Amino acid sequence: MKKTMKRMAILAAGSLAMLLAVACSKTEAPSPAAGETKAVQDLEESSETSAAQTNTGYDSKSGMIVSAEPTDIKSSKDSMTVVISADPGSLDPHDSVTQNKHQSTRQIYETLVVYDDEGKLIPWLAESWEYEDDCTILFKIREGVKFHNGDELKASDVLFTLKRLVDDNTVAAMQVNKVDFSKTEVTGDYTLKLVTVEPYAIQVAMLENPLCGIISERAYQESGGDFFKAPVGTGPYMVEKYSAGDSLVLKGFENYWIPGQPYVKNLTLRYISDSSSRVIEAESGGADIVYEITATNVDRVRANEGINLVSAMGANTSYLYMNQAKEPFGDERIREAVWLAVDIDQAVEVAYGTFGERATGMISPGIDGRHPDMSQFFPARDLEKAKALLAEAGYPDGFETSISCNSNDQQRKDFCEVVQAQLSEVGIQVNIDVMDSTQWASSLAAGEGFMTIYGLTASTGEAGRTLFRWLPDTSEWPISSWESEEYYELINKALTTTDTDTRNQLYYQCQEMLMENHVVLPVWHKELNAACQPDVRGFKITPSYEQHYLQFVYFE
Amino acid sequence: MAEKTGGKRKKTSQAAEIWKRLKKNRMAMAGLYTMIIILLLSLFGPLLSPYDYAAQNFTDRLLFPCASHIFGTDNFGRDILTRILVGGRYTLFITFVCITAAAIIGSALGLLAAFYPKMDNGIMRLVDILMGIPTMLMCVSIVAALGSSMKNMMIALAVTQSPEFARIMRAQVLTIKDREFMEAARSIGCGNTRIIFCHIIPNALAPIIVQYTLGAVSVILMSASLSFVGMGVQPPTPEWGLMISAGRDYLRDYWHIAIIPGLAIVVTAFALNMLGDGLRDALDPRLKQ
Repeated sequence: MKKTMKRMAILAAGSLAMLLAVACSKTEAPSPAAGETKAVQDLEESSETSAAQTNTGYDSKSGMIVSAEPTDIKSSKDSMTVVISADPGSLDPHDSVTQNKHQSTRQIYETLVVYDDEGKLIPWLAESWEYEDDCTILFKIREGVKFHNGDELKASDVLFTLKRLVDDNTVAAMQVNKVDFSKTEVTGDYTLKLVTVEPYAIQVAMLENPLCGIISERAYQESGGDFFKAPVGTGPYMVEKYSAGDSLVLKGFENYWIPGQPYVKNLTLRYISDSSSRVIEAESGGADIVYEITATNVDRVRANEGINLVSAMGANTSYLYMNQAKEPFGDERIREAVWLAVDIDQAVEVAYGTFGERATGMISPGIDGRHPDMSQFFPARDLEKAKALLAEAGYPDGFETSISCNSNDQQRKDFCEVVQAQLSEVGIQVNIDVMDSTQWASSLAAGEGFMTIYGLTASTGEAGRTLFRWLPDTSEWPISSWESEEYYELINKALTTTDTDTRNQLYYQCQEMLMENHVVLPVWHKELNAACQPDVRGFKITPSYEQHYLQFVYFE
Repeated sequence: MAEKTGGKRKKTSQAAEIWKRLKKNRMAMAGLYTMIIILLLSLFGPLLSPYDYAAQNFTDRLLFPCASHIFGTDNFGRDILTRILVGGRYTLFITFVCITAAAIIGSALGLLAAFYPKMDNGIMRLVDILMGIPTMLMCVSIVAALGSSMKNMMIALAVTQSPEFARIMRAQVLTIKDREFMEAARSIGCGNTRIIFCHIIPNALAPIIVQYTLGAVSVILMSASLSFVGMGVQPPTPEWGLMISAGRDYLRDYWHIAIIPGLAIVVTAFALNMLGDGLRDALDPRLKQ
């Protein structure tokens, strides 16, 4: 017995020594200074190679990527695998606002108008449109567009789709909430008169959102409720097989209205939620395009010369929300104290690293109607003032509250942990509720939760679609609504103003109001990216992620 | 008087017998010593550590193991060794409470079912239903219904662990019930309470103790799994499963953040398993050829 004990002790000591030796040999590389130089090198490298890394578009003479003009492009491969971070949940394009859903459904359904490479609205399923007066838009629907079942697209399908958004009480109803359906009518096979209840400048842009994907009326009526199991749209791809949570197999639509497209006939979308696994797919060449390379992996992919990282600043900004319906956040002094107690720079650096940017305004850079300079509204960290405000509001020792986030987003979890530590310095005890993403969304939809972090996308390319989310009737979650008559009037006035400059001035005021009243603290401007294999061409990231056009992608 | 001391001597000698048999089993002893070390480290280790398990230090982020941080630091610059030690407290506390609760509830149910045949059908069918549902599914459902928190996770774990104890206890009691010493006890006029506590329980305890150690292993693994998917302990509590989950994203560049808590779980579970196996052999030598 004694002998064995001795032997074991020697063994244990030996392995401990080995562990230490290994551990200490590893210490040199990642010391802070070394880490810094590495980051700088990465930066230099990426700026040098940035031209190559983002060049998956056409050469300048071939023109735009997003365009309805036929080209003579031939792809060298006829099948492609694209990895997306989340399953669409269903193939109904109207039932959820999540970007990941539309990355899938946009291949099956199309909208009346789309944004081109320069962010200008161009005709798509609608051949043209004109304003008869401030409230009436006449759409001319493109002739010869076929649905996957062979039917031709008619104006009646368009009207049917828009009505369905409201009739079935879908979240997409907010895209047509100003449409007066009693006056909107089909005036011919290919003409549609759309009437809004009041002048609504962004109505056409609202129809660009993939939430307004056009479906076939006949197929929908005849399907008996099973339409979205075998959906019929006009898109470049038809559904072959959908395995929920795993993949969506798509096949090029032979009678697609742009001749020659899609360039790649067989498309498989795979759903992988774990970000490291996604990166491995890109590195191993298992997928041609991999969406959403997140903070912990983005430097690795940037440094990898075998992969092109296509990235663009998006239209999505994340905010730190405080639920005003819950005590004590109804008191503005409390919200201000929280703003003063958190150090967003630090939290963003830890959670997001070099991925995206720390928020500098309510709206993402490059979006029309973004306030030019909101720096004065972002407070510097001031713990003494925060404590004084808490005391003034009747909480001298702080209070206990909670912050929630979805478990599949590691960056949000990290962000919450930093905020938790920062707020504890002024006595605010924050519990972190990490929830499964559907559970999280439904708790917020039910008006629960004290604090949270999530992003809003200005998918119309202008500030209005984000700013109107603080109206109670267009915020899908109560946590983002704000009871203020003054704000309602201001944002409604902005949305009904047709002159762009005047409208933008009103948008600026809205943004100032949101920040002055400490309604919501902008945290982070999202960067959109995707890793592409080097032979991928014609791939473009659009600001919202939602409209991504795999029909233009080809292999060199 | 003489009888009493004789009885006592006999009792101690039985325990000593078990201890002697256990001591012969090297694997079991290694498991026992490892568990004692883990217990002492988690109880007193954090007191010796110069770091706070929750204090974030952004200048020391993502350090590999080195002299000042033996297990390195995580993405918030927190010392991983301190977090492992404090995490050990949570893990051991959760395990101890859950498995003890499961053992008491389960054994009580099994005993009642065997001792009072009228209740047998009702109790055992309930146990059958509970055992028919996959444990992980059941835990996730309970936590989803009650909300994610450490308390609710512990309730879920205790509920899922108890049926096993009920089965074992019932089987034990059924065999003991018909033995001669039971008849003897009854014939000298012992009441039910006395029979249960003085004659049945001591004789049925051996397999319960074994199940207790083996069940503890599954509680450790289950609680880590639940925390891993975000349904158990919430941050910044350094539960081991949660630490693996948080380190998962950094696995390829900073492996130590996830690997070290993973090793902690492996070592603890392995030690408990060895101890459990050894205890089984020591308590019932007939099982060993």
